[in-house]
Amino acid sequence: MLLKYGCATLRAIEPSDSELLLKMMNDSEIEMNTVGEHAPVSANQQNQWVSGYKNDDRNIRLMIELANGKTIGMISLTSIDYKNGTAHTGFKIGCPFEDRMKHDTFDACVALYLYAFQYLRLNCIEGQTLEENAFSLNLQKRLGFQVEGVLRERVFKNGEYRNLVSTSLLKRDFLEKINK
Amino acid sequence: MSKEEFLAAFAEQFDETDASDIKFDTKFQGLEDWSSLAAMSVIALIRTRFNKAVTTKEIRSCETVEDLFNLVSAK
Repeated sequence: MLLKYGCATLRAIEPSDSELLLKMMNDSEIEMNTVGEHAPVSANQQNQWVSGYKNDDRNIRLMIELANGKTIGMISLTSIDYKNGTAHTGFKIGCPFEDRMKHDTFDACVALYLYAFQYLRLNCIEGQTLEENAFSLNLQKRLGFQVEGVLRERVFKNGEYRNLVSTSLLKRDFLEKINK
Repeated sequence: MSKEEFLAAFAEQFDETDASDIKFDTKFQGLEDWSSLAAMSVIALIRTRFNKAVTTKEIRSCETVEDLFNLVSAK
């Protein structure tokens, strides 16, 4: 089942996505603004990861495709815990400006979180964002996330320790926000 | 490029925030619809209408709209 909302459709990762995924993995701007860190990835490594990747009960990673036919990035639910109804979320966008559409990342998040809350019956989605990443924090605010706290100096990047903002989105807050 | 012209063009890049709410002292990164797309729109606007180039990193270093105007003017 494809997940759709507004201009965004979420679909499984295909071999043809390797190029965009590789670009995002090796993009220094994305690296500086996201929590994870890794060594440079080769095209071969990326192709192997894509061919071996399969969504399962614990982790779901989907590509974001827009109504204009462009694929702009990837969005995920990971560490899904069905007993407590929780999961972590994250996304990366790595396309040129010309490929973007208004509200694209918002729509992609809504598509995934509707699926999480209404089909997977989760109750809480958790996020962790670098304090300086205003783009992501603003988007989370629009979706109904609340800040739970700041993890001080929790990530070492570019020669310094940086704060991490811990956020969460409850099912009831999300449904209230998008039904407004 | 006048200051007022810049402010009006900058304010047009936001979908949800009313243009009249955006002033020179607005801390634009705190606006709820300040997004990566809005930032890319601002970069494109500065390139096409004002014929200057700014990076996302430079925009991030600006606190207010006036800071951004000064950054662009100095280029």
